[in-house]
Amino acid sequence: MLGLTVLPSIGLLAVFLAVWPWTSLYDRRPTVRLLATLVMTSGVQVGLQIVLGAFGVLAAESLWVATGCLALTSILVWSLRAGSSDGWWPRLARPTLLGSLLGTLCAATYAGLFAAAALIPPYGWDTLVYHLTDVFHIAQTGALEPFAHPSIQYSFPLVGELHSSWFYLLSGAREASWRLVGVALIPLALMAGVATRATAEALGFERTRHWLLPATLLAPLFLIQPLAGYVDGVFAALVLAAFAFAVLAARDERPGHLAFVALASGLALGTKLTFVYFCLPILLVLAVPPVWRALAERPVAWIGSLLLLFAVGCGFWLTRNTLRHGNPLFPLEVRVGSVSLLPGPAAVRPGAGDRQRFVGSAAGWLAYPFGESYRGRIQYSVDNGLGPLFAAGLVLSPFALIAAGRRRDWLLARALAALPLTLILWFAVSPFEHPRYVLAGVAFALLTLASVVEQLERAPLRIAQAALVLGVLFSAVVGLLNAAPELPQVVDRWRAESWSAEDFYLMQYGAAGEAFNWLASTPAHGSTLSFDRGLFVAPLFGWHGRNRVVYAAGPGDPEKGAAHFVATSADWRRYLREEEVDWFVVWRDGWLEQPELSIPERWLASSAEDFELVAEFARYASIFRTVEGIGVEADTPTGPSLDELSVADRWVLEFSDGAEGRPVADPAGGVRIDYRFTTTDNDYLDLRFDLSESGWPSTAELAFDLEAEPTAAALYIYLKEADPRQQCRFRVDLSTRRPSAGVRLDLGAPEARTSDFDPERVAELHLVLDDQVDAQAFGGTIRVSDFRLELQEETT
Amino acid sequence: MSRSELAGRQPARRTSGSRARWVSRVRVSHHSTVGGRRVASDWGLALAVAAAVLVYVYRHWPLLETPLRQVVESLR
Repeated sequence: MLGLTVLPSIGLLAVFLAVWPWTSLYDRRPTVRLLATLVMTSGVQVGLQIVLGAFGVLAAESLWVATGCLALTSILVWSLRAGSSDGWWPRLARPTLLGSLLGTLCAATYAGLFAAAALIPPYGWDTLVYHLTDVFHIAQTGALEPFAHPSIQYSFPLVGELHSSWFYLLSGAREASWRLVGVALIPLALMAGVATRATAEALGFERTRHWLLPATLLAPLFLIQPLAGYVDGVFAALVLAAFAFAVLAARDERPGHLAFVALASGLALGTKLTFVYFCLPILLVLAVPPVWRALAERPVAWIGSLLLLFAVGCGFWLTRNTLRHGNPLFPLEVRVGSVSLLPGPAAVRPGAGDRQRFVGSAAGWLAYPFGESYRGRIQYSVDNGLGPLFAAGLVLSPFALIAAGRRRDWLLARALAALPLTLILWFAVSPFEHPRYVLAGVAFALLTLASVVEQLERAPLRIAQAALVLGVLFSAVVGLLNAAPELPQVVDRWRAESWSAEDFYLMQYGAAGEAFNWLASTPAHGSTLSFDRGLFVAPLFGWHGRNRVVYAAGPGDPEKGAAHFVATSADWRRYLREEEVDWFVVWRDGWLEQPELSIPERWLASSAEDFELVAEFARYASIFRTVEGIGVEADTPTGPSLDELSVADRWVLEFSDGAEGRPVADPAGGVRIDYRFTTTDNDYLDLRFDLSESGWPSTAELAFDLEAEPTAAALYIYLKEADPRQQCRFRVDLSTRRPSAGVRLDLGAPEARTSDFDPERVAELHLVLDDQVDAQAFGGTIRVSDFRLELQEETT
Repeated sequence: MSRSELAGRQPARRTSGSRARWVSRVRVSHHSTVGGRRVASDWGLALAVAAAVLVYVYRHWPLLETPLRQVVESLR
């Protein structure tokens, strides 16, 4: 596997060397220059792929040509410049003994990490859902359009993934290249370490500089993240780089530093949209007028340049989202008070998402840094592992801040405020509470510790330094031993010569892992696969990346722009036939106690004749082969007219609980219901219509027009027999659907039904409006009209 | 020298020579003597760092011991 890394590394080195001499014009201090080179290397990696991808020619060959031309031109032009030989070799300070030892520890640990990468494939949950999926998709299409994910990942920017695709493509997109998706992210830790050291130098730290770089690189989570294939390490590195340049800009007041703040910030936003709030520590450092005074001489040119540099990493994605959704940050919703400025399905609001994985309550986070627990016991995972020096930095943070304030060193105070500010943002704004989101906070904690140790002398200095070395040593050893789950067992099996990387999926995902490997080994290369829900999309490509994977959004999926949409079972089966789908995979979230059936799974159950069950993997996956002629159906009988449902007077209020509303005739036709949820509890309103005629065919669809502004409410449609205990239920989520669109409900595939319900005996139709956010009172209006029964289309 | 410089603030656009002088000013302003007021003693701060690291290491010792024992056993 490590042989695969040779060519991508040569490509990376070529970009580095193309950039390196030029950064001597910016700053000759070795650390600052190295950081600038690393950020520019990352920017070139991303920029080249965006340009090639925008023209649909992103492939190994074109990337090699572009990289080679860039490197040769850059080095040639530099060589022709007078005095160009000065730019190559920096003057390095003589390393200290402790610095040399920690550097050796760092090199040995990362050698161990590369060795572990030879045994461990990219395995993280999110990796198998979308990081690896997008790499496969980019390699197959040569373009940057993300895979048509069922969920909001469809609108995520892909800078993190482009670091992985660089390695994937330049290794030749071979059958084993998927192994490099995580390995590709390891070099980014170096950027984080160099950024921390550059910040320390800018703040004037002398005694602590030699351990800040290895201490950052050896934080446990920086060792755990890459093998999983997660991009939080990439994000942290870019945030720290932007932070370092911000501190330099505040100290030196040179516009050149701001240019690198812009470049690194754009790349960070292009990695994770959460940068919109995690950028505040950087803005705080820059929030003094002298920083910006340097731009006053040529403001238009400078601001234009900064915006362009910012756009390198995120402009493509923000533009795409603006054109698609009118919101550059989609799926994030930008809201001020109760006014939604930029609508989106993912509200930026505090939430306790996944908190229970780590602590029992919000107060548990206070003790968490000294007991990094995961699922009930002290344990590292891809989501946590901040290390001992984060805990120590947190304890010392108030002292360091007070001391900086009393010294009136406001730049240091603003820089040290990054740690508490990041944690406050994480707790108060982030919807999910994963410690990995504050990985940059490890470096902020190290800077806090450094500012304290910098002030010590004699014996206290030696005690603190010994503790720090112990912390670094512990982080390195524990981080490496836990760099992947069950790593010792993996090494044991490898030594017994019975190990292949695919076995790791069996250890981590059990029967679902068997399904992953089955999909890589059984369908012929070039087969087309589809699936019911976006649990694990990447394995459908096969680890070789040769399978074709298609997906059409359905009811319940968020609105996503151009992606194909199917509303009914007939649409869906026609889609599968048109796309020549050979295999259909039903993923079940078997980790949940009562996994819900997906809509395609219900459709599949009602048209079982079109599918042949080929393999089942416990309660995690079922794999079907599609039969020839899928979707061809016999005519179905017609049902009664439903025009009476548009008569407002015939609707009656069955029941209401904390809600007000009544049906009235709308001048535009149909029935309008103005409703209001009045309490802070669960409110709902139930309207009943007694049908004059039953006999609805179960293979038909109930269709009607629905106008409703997006609001946090759901519209349930119940069909009940004369015995109302026999019923079925459909749901329309008003918060995510288009304001004015038709609704089509497949009578054969309701969301829920009682065992004996039969549409032939339907006697009542109910519309139930239910608030999805209990904590506030709000209201709205819906208009329903043109109820009809439609036969599912003949698809021959 | 201005009051702000005495307090450790740095002038803009410094060169490598002035940087060394700035660093020396930072160094003389110890926690225990900042502004003539005591923030915490050097000993207190050093012991706080050491205690925090030791408590963490103690609580997370199984993360070192368990896999290390497995590795040692497999090497036998």
